[in-house]
Amino acid sequence: MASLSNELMNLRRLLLTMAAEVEQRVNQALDGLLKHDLRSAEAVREGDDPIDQLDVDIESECATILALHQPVASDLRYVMASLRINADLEKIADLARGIAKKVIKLEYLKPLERPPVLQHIAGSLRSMVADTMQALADGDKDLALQVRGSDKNIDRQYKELMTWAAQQMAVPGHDPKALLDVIGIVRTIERIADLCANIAESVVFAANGTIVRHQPVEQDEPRT
Amino acid sequence: MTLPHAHSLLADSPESTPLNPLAHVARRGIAGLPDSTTAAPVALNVRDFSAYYGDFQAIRRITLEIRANRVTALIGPSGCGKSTFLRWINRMNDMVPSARAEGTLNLHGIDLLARDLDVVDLRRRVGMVFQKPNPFPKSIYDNVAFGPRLHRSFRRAELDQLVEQSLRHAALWDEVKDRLRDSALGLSGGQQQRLCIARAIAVGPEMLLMDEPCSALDPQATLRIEDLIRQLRSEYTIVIVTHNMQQAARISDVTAFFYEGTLIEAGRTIDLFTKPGKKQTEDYVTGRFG
Repeated sequence: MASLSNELMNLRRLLLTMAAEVEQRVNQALDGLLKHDLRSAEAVREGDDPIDQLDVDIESECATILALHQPVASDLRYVMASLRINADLEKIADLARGIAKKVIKLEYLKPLERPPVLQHIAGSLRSMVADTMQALADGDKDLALQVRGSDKNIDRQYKELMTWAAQQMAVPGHDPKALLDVIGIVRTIERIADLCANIAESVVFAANGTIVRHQPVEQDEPRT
Repeated sequence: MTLPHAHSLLADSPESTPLNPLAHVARRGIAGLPDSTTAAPVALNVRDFSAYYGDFQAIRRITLEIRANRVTALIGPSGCGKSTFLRWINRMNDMVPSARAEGTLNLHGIDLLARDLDVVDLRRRVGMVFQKPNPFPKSIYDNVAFGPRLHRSFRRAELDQLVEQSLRHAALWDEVKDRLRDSALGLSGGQQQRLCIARAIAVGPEMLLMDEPCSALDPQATLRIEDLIRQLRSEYTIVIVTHNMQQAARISDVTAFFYEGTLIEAGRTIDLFTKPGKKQTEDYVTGRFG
């Protein structure tokens, strides 16, 4: 039987591999959207097999640690947080795949003039995902709290895009399928941002045992 | 000196039980808050308590409140002072010539460090269970009846009832009721330890001290003792020394972490094992100590 510290190291390795894979998929899906990079979108659409395998490996590793080592304190929190983070990462990978599929579909529909805020929300998501994975890798609760706060920015951009979409519906000549796909992509971006915020909350829990999940963001600042 | 308010073994009242005359105190203390650790009244008040063996200071000015009807686990590496502390509660260091203590150790208003304290009476109030089961080479019945007989004479029926009650409380009655006259040494290790617990509670103590009571037992016997400790908690204040972190986590309400004679941290067990306040505690419970 491996030692607890070896098992925890292995869990960390798996979780960070999963995080890197997921970040790459989100970026590729967004490249597909913004740069019309179909090759990237295809790569994301191709399948989640590596992600699914990591999902299973991480859950198994957590079960092993809990059953054989009965961790406590920060070790217990890390395992508990890992279970949640793993589930959130797996969902993000699924959502990135959803974006990639819609991006590919959009290429075959009548082009739609895209508002600048679509570029902004994609950029915001890219930063948010990068910061989330950084906070996870470093166990940085301060950066995690920043990530949690940045979800509001995405929410604001999301609302702007929904207003734009409502206006577009009234404009004649658009392909309604294309508009619906863009709305779907925007909704998915917003959902990924929510999941990043969830991961950030788990990072805070692992770091200091505080459950910030149901606490208003305004109460987050500052912690030492 | 005789301890004040020493209760008769079979005293009975609407608010007390024969085995624990102070049960009503605990019930009143936890009314409405059955699971709260801090709502229980203080059974043992420890203030600036230090203990020495000659020039060596084994315990350094610890302050702690042991709550009634709660299980308090004392954890820490070997030599940290937890067993010394336990022995002072029962004045077992009186026989060690170099041992001395200062500060306050107060059990329900009784100064446990008083020179003229009646230690026989104290040990009726504070029972002790040791690491290795240590039954007397007598019958099961006589082991349990030994303590009560020391304190006063009983009618046969009265003693029979007390022995049965004590064995029932120790979850041993059903296993031994048909062989009470057999030697206690014929029992298994786990049964012997439960017999020792029955022997300790037969004299109606308020508090039970346990010094690694499961360390010599197999996993199944350990689980039975742990179940028993959980049940006894409703009637007795229990202080247990254990090296087994998981055991402390499983059975105690409060955990106190000792290191080099200092009380580093004491608090709700759930807090100590999920988010300890001190780094030393974190390092110890996660096994990264030293």
